[in-house]
Amino acid sequence: MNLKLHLLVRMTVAGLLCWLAVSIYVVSQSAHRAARDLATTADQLQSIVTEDVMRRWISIGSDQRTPDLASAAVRFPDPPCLRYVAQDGTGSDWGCAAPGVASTVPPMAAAALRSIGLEGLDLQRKIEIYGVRVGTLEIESNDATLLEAQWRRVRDLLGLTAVTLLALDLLAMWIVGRALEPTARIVAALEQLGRGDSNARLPRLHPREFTLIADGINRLAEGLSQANAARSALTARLFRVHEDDRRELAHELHEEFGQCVSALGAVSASIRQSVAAGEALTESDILPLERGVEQVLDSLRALLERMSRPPLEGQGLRSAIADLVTAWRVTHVDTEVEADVERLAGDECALCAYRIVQECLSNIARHAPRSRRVSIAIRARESLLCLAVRSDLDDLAERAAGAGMGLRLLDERVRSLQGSFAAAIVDGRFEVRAELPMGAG
Amino acid sequence: MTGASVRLLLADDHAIVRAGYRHLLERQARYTVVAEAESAEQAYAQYRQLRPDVVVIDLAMPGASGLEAIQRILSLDPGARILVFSMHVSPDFAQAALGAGALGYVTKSSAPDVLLRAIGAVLARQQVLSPDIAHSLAVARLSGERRRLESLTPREFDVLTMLISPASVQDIAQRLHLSVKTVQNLHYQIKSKLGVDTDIELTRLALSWGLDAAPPAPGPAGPS
Repeated sequence: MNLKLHLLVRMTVAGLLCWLAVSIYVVSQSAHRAARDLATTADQLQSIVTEDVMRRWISIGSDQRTPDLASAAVRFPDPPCLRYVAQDGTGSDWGCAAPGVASTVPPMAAAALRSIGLEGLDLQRKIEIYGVRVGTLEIESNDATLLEAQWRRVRDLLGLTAVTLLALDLLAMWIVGRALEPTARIVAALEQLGRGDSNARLPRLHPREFTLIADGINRLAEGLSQANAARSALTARLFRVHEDDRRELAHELHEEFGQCVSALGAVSASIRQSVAAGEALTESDILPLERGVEQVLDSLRALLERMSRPPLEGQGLRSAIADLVTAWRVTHVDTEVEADVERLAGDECALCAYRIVQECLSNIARHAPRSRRVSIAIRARESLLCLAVRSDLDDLAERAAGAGMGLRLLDERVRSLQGSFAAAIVDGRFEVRAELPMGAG
Repeated sequence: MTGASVRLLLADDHAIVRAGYRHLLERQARYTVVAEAESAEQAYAQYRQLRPDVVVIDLAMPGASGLEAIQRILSLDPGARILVFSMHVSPDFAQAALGAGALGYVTKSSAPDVLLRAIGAVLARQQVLSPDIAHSLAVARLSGERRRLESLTPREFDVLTMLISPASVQDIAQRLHLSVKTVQNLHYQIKSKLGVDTDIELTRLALSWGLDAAPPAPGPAGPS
């Protein structure tokens, strides 16, 4: 059931309830008024009948002592049933016979009207002359007439209520329909949002409540749009990092393995030529081969170490870095790792710090093997893990100083943890600095 | 040249490569490796001093690239015979090397005797390509997609490969011994010739051509 129909049904039910309440009120008030009117009529009739009886009593030669009820009754537009009973038991009545007209009041309606107080009224009045009671006047209301009148009133009210309700319903349908027009746009916008389309926007709507809803939906759409943009940016960044990783690996394969294998191929071909020519091989012929194999193995080991996750959880950062220094066979390394940072063993911050040191040592071993002073310092400062790796530069390295792939990847990684990263030549030494929020990741 | 030993200059930044190929070349009766160089600058200096018969040179070296060295050597001696010996298998690098004046281009993945034959051909001033690169170059030319890349000068090609390596304009200027302004101009010309407006488009285009297959040599003691 839509909202418009829902409201109309409720309005109609409320109207009918109003009609019922008004009807009960009107019938009840009418019953009271009828009782009051009957009492007034009874008082007037008492006075008339007393006067009539007195006149008969004092009239000489009159045997008739019973009042003329008919002449008393005609003075009233809607006379009740009158019954006079003298003290000696004789009496007369007027208007008490059944009207002989079929009632138009349905039995259920009659029962309902009676239940709310519309019952027959019966009043008695003493007729006294000079303080002596001579008879009793009984006045009975005309039930059928009263019911008929009340039923007519109720029917009139029902008709009025029906017309009012119909008019109200039509008017309400038009007004509510107009007022609810923006709901279609709101629903359409919500469905658009539900489909993931964050371009849904609503203009200012009337009444004000709809504007508030529209503003809420617009804020929701804006938030969704920003979330989508952030997600896309993150996805793109993820892919970029992934691509950078692949390029780094390709670079590694090119720089280390490709060159070595190519050189080994040349040495192998050379040895084959010597063997084919029947020349005697010497140790110097084998030496390049051995060196090449050794370099390939070193590169392979280094690559595997860089690709695998370090055992930080079990070992702790300080011990893991000490192992790194040993593994890279970098001499003259001054390592200073504060004891406090041991507790960072298992989190992303420690792993990132480890990777930075690993990358730096790897590059020192490969590109600045003559470096005489290498220092690694890791300290905890408030909520930051501060890391610095410094090494000497040789001439070749100095000339080739530039932003490499590994450097970019590390920068990305540190920034993803809301940290800062810098690599620069400071006082003739290459320095990599990073600050990482502890507990990151 | 018959009878006399052919004097070779071997320029490669990898000591293991120089040692391996020196071993091979010196097994050949007619070849003598008179000098080795580990950078473009050294290669140029050695050439000027020794005037070898053939220069066997790598493209990717720290500092100035092999293309830079080729141009400098040829400007010193237009008759220099230069054979590029590189890991790059992209036809664009071969195109750039030949464009810079090299007589031949042999990939390091080729069999050693391909290099020996190529040195012989270059000695006779014949253009020579290793079979893999000749095939790639033919396919690339047939497809016609890389015409725009052919319009780049060797210097522009050098800058393009460095830009996608990635390296900043300042780094490139330092490595090629150029002013930052010059590199910025080259950057603009590259984008103009390749018909792209942004660096992102430029990188995408270069990556689609495989120009990042083997980035140039890394930085120093810092991460590479």
